[in-house]
Amino acid sequence: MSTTYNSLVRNTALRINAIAGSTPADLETNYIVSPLTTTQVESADFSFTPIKDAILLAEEKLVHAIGNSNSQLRNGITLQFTSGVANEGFLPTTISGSQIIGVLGNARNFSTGNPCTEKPLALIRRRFENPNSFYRVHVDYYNLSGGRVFHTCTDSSGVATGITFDACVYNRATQQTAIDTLTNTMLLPDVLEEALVCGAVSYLTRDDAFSVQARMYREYFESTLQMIRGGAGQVLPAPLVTT
Amino acid sequence: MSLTYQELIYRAVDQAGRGIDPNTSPLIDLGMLAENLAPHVFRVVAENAARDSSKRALLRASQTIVFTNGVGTIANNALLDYMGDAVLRDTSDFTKLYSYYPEWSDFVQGGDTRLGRFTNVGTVISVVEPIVSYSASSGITANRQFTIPTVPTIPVLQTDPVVIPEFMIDEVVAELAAQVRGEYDNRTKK
Repeated sequence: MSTTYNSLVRNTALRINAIAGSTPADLETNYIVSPLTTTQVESADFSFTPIKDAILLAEEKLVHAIGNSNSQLRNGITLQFTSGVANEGFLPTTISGSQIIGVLGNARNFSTGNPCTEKPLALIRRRFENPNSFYRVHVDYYNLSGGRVFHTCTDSSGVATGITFDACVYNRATQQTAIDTLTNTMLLPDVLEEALVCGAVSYLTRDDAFSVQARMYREYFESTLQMIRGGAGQVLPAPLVTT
Repeated sequence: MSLTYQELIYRAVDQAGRGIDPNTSPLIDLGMLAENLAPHVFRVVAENAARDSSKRALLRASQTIVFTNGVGTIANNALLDYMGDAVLRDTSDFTKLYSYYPEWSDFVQGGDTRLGRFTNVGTVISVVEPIVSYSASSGITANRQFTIPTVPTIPVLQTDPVVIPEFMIDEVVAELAAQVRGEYDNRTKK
């Protein structure tokens, strides 16, 4: 991820005619400024901050779609793991203050790191109760039910331990700051730069201004989100805007 | 070759999945079922082996029996069909000999009193010391070593070795794998 938010802002601003300058030379001069300010980004329809907000909105949508997919793109965003959750514990909603988004990923024994297998709840209950220590061989089974996780994870000595999940997280406040700073690199993989710009452009319409363009980009953005949710690791290029 | 209980279960489950795509087979993760079946398989394989007199001796294992007034309890894993092969010993005096009396009446009446004697009713074992007459209230209160063909026990920990005669290991694994697959029950083969 080497693309900066400054690059996203200028790409977005260009498509809504918000780069200051009346000549190609002026446009070029202002376009390449980093970080951009309200001096370089000015428009009768959209000021600087709404453009950055639109980028934030588009980023949220893309991150959520990735979080709900099993796409390899998950590895490109902040994939973290939860702290150990005890048997019958509630599923965590945050990791280090950031919200968990989308579906949980791989489940592992927090102590041994062994991958866990999802099994029926009744089987997990029997194994956890383990009357008279009948079962000797450790198994790492789990089941998600009603917001809780039930599991059989133990450490190598057989003492009950926690379970951990891979999860995508998103922190809006952190991202707001990153976008406002502009020189930070984008959260998502570079290959989603185009999708993110198109998504931001699709939000930038008011009254009749850029409405046709916004509609076309929105259609592209929605189809991109659908592809990602379907597990695609690659997205289509943006359409050519026609009136 | 010795193997741990965990190895035994893993080998059985892996063998159960032979010839089946592990990506689609539920057998690959049936360790709990294998553990459920293991005591049954241990007994079936041991009982089958015990029918062969050349293998039966290899199944003999010793246990300590605590006698109170001449009465003690045999562990459940002893193959009582082979009490005739059983040996009772006083570990503090190996010259002391005991003879097995299958019938209770013979045991009470006694025979050659130079020998001690023992009998059983189910898992309850009774003993009379040499040169002593039977008395229901004054038998020995002591420990004796009892050796008999035995079903191997399930280890306490998954990392403990399975104490099992060498020749039985492959049979146990194969039988357990077959039962995990639901293929057949060795108990009905003989």
